[in-house]
Amino acid sequence: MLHRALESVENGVYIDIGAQHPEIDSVSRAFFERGWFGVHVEPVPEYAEMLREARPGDAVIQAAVSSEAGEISLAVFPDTGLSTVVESVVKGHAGQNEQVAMRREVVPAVTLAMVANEVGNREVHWLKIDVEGHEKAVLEGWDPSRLRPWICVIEATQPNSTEPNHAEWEHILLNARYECVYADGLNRFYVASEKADRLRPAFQTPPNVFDNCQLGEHASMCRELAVRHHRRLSAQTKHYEAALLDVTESRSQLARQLAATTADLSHQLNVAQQHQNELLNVAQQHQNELQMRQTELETASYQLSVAQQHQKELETAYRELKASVSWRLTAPLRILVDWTSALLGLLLNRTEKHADNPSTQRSSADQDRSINLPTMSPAASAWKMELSQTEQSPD
Amino acid sequence: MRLLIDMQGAQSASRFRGIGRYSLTLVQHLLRIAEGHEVLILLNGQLDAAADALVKLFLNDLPREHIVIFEPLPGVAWSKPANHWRARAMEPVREAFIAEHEPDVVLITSLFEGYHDDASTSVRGDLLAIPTAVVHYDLIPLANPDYLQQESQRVFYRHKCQQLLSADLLLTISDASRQEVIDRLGVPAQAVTNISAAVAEAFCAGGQDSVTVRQALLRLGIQKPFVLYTPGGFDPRKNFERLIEAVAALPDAVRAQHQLVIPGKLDEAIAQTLTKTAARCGLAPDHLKLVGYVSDEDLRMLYRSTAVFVFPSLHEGFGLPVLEAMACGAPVIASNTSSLPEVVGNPDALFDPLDSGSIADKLARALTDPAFTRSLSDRGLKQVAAFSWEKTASRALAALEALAAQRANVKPSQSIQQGLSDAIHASVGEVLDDAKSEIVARCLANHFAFVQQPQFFIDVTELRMADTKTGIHRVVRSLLLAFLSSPPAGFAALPIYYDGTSFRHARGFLTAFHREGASAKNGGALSAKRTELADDIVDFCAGDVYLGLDFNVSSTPEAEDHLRRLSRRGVRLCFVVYDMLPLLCPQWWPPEMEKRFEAWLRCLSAMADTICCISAAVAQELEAWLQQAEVRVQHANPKIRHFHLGADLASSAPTAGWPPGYDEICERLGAGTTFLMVGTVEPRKGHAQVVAGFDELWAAGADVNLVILGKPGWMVADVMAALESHPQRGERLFWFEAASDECLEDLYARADCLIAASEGEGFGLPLIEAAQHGVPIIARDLPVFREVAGDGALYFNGPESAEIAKAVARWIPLFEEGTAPASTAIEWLTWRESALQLLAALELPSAEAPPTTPEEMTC
Repeated sequence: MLHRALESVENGVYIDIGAQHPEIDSVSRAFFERGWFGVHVEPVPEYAEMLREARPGDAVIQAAVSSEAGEISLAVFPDTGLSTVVESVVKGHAGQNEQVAMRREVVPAVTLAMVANEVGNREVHWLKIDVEGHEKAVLEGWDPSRLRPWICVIEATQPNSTEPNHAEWEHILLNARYECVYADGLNRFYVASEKADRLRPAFQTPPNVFDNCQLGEHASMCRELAVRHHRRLSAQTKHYEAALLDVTESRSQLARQLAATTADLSHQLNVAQQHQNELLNVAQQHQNELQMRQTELETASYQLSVAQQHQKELETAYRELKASVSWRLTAPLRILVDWTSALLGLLLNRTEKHADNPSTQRSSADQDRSINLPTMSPAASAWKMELSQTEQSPD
Repeated sequence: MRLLIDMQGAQSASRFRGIGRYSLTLVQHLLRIAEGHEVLILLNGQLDAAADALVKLFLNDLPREHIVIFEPLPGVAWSKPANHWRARAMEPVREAFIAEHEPDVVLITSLFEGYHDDASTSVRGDLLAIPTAVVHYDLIPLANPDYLQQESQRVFYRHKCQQLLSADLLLTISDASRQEVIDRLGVPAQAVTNISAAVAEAFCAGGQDSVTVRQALLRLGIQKPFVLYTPGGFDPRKNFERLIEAVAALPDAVRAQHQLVIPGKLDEAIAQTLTKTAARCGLAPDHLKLVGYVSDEDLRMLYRSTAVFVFPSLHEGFGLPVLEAMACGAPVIASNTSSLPEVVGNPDALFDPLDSGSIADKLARALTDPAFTRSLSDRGLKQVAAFSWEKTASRALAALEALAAQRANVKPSQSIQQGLSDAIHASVGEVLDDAKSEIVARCLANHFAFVQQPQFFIDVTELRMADTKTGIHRVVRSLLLAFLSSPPAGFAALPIYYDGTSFRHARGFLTAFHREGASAKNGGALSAKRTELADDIVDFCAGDVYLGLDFNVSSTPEAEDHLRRLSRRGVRLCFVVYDMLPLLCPQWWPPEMEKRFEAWLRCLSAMADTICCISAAVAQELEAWLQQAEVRVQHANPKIRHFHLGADLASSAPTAGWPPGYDEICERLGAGTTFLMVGTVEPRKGHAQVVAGFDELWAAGADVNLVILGKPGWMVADVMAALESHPQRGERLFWFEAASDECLEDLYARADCLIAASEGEGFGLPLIEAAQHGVPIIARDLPVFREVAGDGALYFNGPESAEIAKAVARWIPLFEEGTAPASTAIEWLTWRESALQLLAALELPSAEAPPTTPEEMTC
């Protein structure tokens, strides 16, 4: 509502009595963010500190506002907006809820007029009073001739109830020529009469869709939404954490497997190399044996050729012998000897079992394949002799 | 007159050109008119493809002995200097070889051979003074010194010209050529005769339909009327340049309407030169058509359809294309030089080949004056009648007869062989070292035998390696013994074998063979003293006979090249085929047998002179196979004959010895009727069927014994298992896996009946062996068994065991009555008689002299 009314004002000024939290349920926050200057009065030390941090440039008075300056006893209900100086209110809260935490502090008290000094000569556009039952005292310390905010917004119910209490102090405002233009169930809005014509139209309707207001995440009206959202978020987070755990675990498993496989392979490689070395040794042995055999073969071939040479010589000698006269003369004698021995043979062995013996024939065939078969036919040998015996004639 | 014609001119690379063709056609016509004369032709065995083709051709006209083969050393082509000593060495060898055949006259169809290929010709006359005539073609290289480009060619040519001068008679192919040789070489005029030339009968003016002609011309790329020049060669004297200039000088209209066509195989370089010349002379690219090689048929078509045939060659021996063209009716114009005027016979048709203007004028006239053109072709056809092969051949024959009459053959004072080695040394001009002497000696051994008798070689390669004791080896042994004791009349019978490289005398084998035979008879002591002689390489000469007696399935294909060379040389190759079963029924043999057998059969069918089968049945099968087998024969189709085998085991070099327990078995055989089966246990012998049949008989309680004699063969594992585990084995069923021939004889004596259940046989030796012992026979009804046994057996049919049982059941009562078909009626031969039959089949004379026993033979 304030915003609707004061839309056209740039760099305005405000005074917030009982400012409390700078973010949560703060009336001044939107204005501060638009470049307004403000004075905050807040007796609770925690909230005052927060205000100083969150509102650089603004003035923060850590005190209570009353009809007279001095000191005053404050009942602090931490983390609530219920801190008050009014004893009956304190009792009322205690009566409602015995567990409620509370401490007492003695805080300085100032008057509205003193607060107005902070503003100086500047025009104050709005003044808010949220003092938990101490409104009359605050207004009693106000000098309307010196301080005339365009709009005054005052919490006008009994603390923590809907019961209105403006009858106690409204007359102060009315006497100061302020008129009430709006009430929203908790607060009453009064505009200065000289500004009334200008500002009154803005208060004709309650906040509606055309105001395009947005609720902050800490607004009480968003609480359920926020809770729901938060719940959803934490569920997702849990889920992702679980997944991350799985992945981490499987990764470590794979790492283990890899290590095992590598070890296995290197072992096998060693075995294979050993095997190869053994095979090479065996091959070498075979090689040596082969060489030995070849040497043996060469020796044997040489011996064979020597023997065959010898055989040739014997054959020649034999032929010569057969051709010799003495041999032919003794022929009859030898035939006689043959006959006798054949007869003896017959008498001694009845039947000669003539076993099939292809092996003898085969071995003679093998022998024939030896190196010493004649390489020229008889005719060719004869021609060769002819050619070598011919005397060479000149060309 | 005995005339020997050296036809190497028809064999070398020139055989497809003029000279080769001329040589062949001349000889063919000479043979036709040479009755009353003996004509031999000499071919070069080294040029084997051409030699085989010519042998094949001339076998129709000449007996084989009249085709003599000269085998010079490989590598006598003069173009390679390394060949020179061989070329020189071969000249006297050839002359001596010719002289051996004692001709009255020698005619050489082409002397200038042996530069590029391995031909060897010569005329020397110093070895023997046999009158020699040489067909002379031309002296073009002499007239044009640049014709032969290489110095070695020129040296060779001069050498040959020198030899030409030693000839007694020159037969030239034209008058011009005759005059040339008289003028340039100074040959006396009476030693030169012109026998002219002629063209083949196919060259004639023929009808040919224009459509085919047009298609053929288009195929060759000829689209217009054309001028034709068939040069026959592509050297400078063919005068292409002036011809092209002349064509270019034709009047434009005429030139535009005609193409110049030049057929003939030519290489790239020459083609390019000609095309460049044409371009230079201003001819359009397709005016000159170089159509490359054309077939004879296409050539004739060109002759018949050309507008004008022009022959501007500067120098020809004859100019055969001119005659060919005239014969086909083409209008011909030619040069007025060398032999062309006498061939053309029409002065109007001649021009000066050195003047392209003269050529152009004649050409223009021929192309534009139809009357002139017609007169050219008319006169041409008339002129052709003056040339014929009959005329040429008879002129040649007359000249040769005159030569023979003039010069009586002077018998040499020394034998050919004595003078030959001197002549070789003299010809080569240097001492032949050991290696060279050896090479020449081998060549000489192929031509001049030391042995006077022709030889009858029996190939025993397989038997020598191992006697497998099969029927085939029984045949080989028996026939070998028979031939050794009585070889064909006039021949020496010698066993040989192939050792992988050459044929050798099987002397070692022979000794062992005799020793075995002798020892089987009398204890072996006598012949133990023979010495083993070396297995020399065999010298084969023309007139020898080779008998492939054994089933040499591997060694015959191995030796194929050798055998073909022998066949070329004039050795008669004969083979024995035992059966065709591996081809006709391959299922009875291991898988690779069919292919090997076919390869073996093809190999020997191609080169055999005669093939003898062991029965008429097999001979028929072989003839049937040959008709569809498309074998490429080397010379002529083989003669197919048959003969029958012998039955007397005693003459088959039999083995001796008794199986264990034989006596007890014989006792058992005494009871009941004994049936005998003889033969290797093979799938086709039918053992399974017979055993099954006898199972039925035994089940029916018949008192019969079955004796099986045969060693295990192949693919019969189940039969053998059945036999080994048979319940009746040892009781009534007896199986001798290996029994000697002695044992076999005994079994024949004891058997009551022989069962021949084989499903396929070449002959069926057991049949006649049984006949010899008078043993009755039950046989399967096969044509070959009918051939051998005739009515002397009881026949059965069918593959069922029941058939055997029925046959036996039918036979036994007949036997007891004594009316079973008697095998004594079967005519059987002894092995000696079988050998004689074989010799008769081979057309070899058999010996009249009484045979000698093996012991008395010397190797």
